[in-house]
Amino acid sequence: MRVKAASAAVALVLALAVPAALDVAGRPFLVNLVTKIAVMSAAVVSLDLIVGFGGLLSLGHAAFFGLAAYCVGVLAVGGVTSIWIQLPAAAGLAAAAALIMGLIAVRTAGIYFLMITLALAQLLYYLAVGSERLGGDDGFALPRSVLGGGLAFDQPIVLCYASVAALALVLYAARRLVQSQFGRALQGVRSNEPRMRALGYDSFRIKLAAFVVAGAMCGVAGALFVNLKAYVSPAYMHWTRSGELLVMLLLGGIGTLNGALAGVVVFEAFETFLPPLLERWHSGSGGNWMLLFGPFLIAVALLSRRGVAGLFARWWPAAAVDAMSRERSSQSDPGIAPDEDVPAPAQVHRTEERSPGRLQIRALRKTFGGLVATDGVTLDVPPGEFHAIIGPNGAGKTTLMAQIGGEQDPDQGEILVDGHPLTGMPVHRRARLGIGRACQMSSILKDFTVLENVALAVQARQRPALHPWRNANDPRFTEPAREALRQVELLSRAETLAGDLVHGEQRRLELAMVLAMHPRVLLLDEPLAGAGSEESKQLLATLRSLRGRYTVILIEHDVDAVFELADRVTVLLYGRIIASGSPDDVRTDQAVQVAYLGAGNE
Amino acid sequence: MTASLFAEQLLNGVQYGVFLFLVSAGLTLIFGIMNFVNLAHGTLFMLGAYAAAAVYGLTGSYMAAWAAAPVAAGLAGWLLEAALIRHTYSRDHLVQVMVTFGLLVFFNQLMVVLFGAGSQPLDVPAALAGRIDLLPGRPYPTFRLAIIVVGALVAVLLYLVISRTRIGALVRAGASNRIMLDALGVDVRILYTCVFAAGAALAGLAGVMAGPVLSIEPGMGDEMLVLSFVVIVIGGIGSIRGALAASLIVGIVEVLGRSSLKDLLVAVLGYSAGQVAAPALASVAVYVVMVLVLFFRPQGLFPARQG
Repeated sequence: MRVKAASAAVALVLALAVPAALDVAGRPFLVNLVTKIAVMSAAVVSLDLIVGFGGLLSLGHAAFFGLAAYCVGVLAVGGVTSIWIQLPAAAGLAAAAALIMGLIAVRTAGIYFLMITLALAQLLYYLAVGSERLGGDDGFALPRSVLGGGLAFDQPIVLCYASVAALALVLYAARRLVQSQFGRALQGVRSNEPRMRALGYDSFRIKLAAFVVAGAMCGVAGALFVNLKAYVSPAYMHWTRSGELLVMLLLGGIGTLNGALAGVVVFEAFETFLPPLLERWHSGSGGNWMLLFGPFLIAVALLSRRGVAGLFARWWPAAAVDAMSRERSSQSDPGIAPDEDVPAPAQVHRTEERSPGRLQIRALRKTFGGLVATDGVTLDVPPGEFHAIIGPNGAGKTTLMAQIGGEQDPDQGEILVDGHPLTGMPVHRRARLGIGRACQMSSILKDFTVLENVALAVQARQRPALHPWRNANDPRFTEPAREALRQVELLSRAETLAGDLVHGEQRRLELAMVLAMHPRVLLLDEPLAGAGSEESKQLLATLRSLRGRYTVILIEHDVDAVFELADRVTVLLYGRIIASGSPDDVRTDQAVQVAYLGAGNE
Repeated sequence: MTASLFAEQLLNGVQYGVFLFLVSAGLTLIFGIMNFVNLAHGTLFMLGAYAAAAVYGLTGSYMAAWAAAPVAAGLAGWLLEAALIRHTYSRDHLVQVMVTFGLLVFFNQLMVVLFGAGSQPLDVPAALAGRIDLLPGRPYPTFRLAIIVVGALVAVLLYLVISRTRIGALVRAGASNRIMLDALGVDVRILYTCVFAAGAALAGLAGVMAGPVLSIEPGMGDEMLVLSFVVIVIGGIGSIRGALAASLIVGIVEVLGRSSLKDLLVAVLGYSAGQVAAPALASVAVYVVMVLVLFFRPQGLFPARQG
């Protein structure tokens, strides 16, 4: 903590003193360089929000920068020179563009997302190039903005302090956002989107919101940058500018926010200081800095996972540690105290416990081509019943679960929870209605701690679930999470990374997450599969403790476990129910013995 | 606009589409099979063009220049894949973006150092310099027609390779299910290198053909890369058929947009509004098409990947 406070103080003093010193020394070039670094850093921080924390690799971020620049330019030329009007307008326009772009692009992922953001940014670029009123290819000059009180951006020192202040604000806002409930959920979506949806998070909206916020922040940077140049040009939006922003982000260390500054400084060192050196060595060779920069970039990308700081890790361990303490893991450090105006945790937890629900399935049918996976299944599971579904491989058990959970929709038939029809509802809304699902392969957030995993599940059912300012490490979430971990005997591992847990522990963690949702109906898909005998015993004990407290639908191949746990057993064969009743009835059922237990062969 | 002018523009669109197809065909396979983000593909297109210009300058032979372009680009692709790119397949997309962006920056500047910042001359060969009476009253440049013919030949050849040969079967399998291909014990490393080098060679071929039509200059691949992204998004990642259809669509929309959108807008919006809106809209027409396709068919026109 002391180191952190000290470095913050140093940063503050530097930010205040350096521009003034340079100004007094009569070095406007260097003052402007500080301005440029501050502005570009703000843009890179905004990009880090979506790339580093949202996992959205955008190659169109410069569009928001350029759009804001054009907005300020058009206003300034039209006579509106007050920055207090220009800045909100520019940020608003960038946000609106990000919303439209996001609506198209955020549904996709990976290479698709990258290509689409790039193409859409290029669309804006060509619009600017093709518009003669906006100066076409050349762009246009504009008067610099006025701050009021005799201050204006045509004084380099004023623009410099404004830019440093803007960077500080953007950094602060980004940090708060990343540590907030919203930020935690955003990182959860990056880590494991299907699990987040199954917890009740609308992942599309979360990513879209992050995209829009980042766009607005980048707009602020663009609005200031245009004041540095007093000129707008379509080149600000060209896709290679977006590429450069990504380069700066990678150089500084992705997912670190503060690293943006380092990345921009390194980039500027190449772009600003190398050309004059090269010119001195050989006239006309200034542009060749790119010959050095290209390979440098490749080396950093290949050799270091944490930007330039990571490169020097061997000789300068402190830098590496600093760069590696990613935002999320540093959150256990109470840099920002949780808000105090929240009710005591335990009470919230108790009063919110939901009663078990009734699950009704009516004439459900699902086909894949010629294969009938679910063939007229009708089930009525009363509240609190522990209901097992068994059947040989390919009987349609998992397909049935997927239709209840929402990954697949039936062709015909209905699914109701407490009378609410689920059919056609997206996964996250079913989760909010009370469907909790544990998957065949444990679905957890591997790069989160055990406690954070469960806290996210608790957070999902709180209102507001996605507070953009309030810290996610709030006792309102962590206390119920500890409670759930105690239930599955995993509390001692609370601070472990979930990915480091052994198989059985991961299953129990997933169960704890699902229980922390307070589900009305619990779907368990082969919880014992792949567990060793000791693990099995522990898991069985946990499952036993659920009896009577939850409505449970269990798929399991371990028939002994099923007959011990279940109140009622349903047997599926080729998508059809061939028997349903108490364990004893099913065990002695002739059809079941022939079809499933294979007794007919003997 | 007369019907014959329209037909001529349509042919120009097809010819532009052929460039796009040659560049995108390899790139869509690289995306689809290796799941590798390649920003340096346009650079290989540029290298092909420069290689042709250099060889023509040295030998004065068009044949040599035409042969040099795909060979040089293919060789460059093979070397880059084996030395560098292979080591990034298992890494983040971000790392791949950085590495290939670094290559792009490096080679753009390298061309400035070697050849200067201006554009390189590469004229139409004398045998193809004339015009053919293809359309009544509108002789069409033979060279442009030749481009279309070469493009058609390459498309047929690619189709045969991919549908009839063993390596083609692997390519198809890789595009529809990459992980399964790995699991089947196929030596994917050789496959990846082949696909990368072949894609590079095709891009290089496009480069030499673009020489007389576009201009050979540093950064000429950057714009081509973006357009081939649009082609791949429209056609569907990993699909050669999709790349072909989308290339033709994008080529025709781009050329017709620039040539006849003004007339259309002037007719609809009135003279002044049409004059103002046309250039801006013409240059973004292909992106609008992309957005429309994404809206109605998010996986592209011919998705290669199942499920």
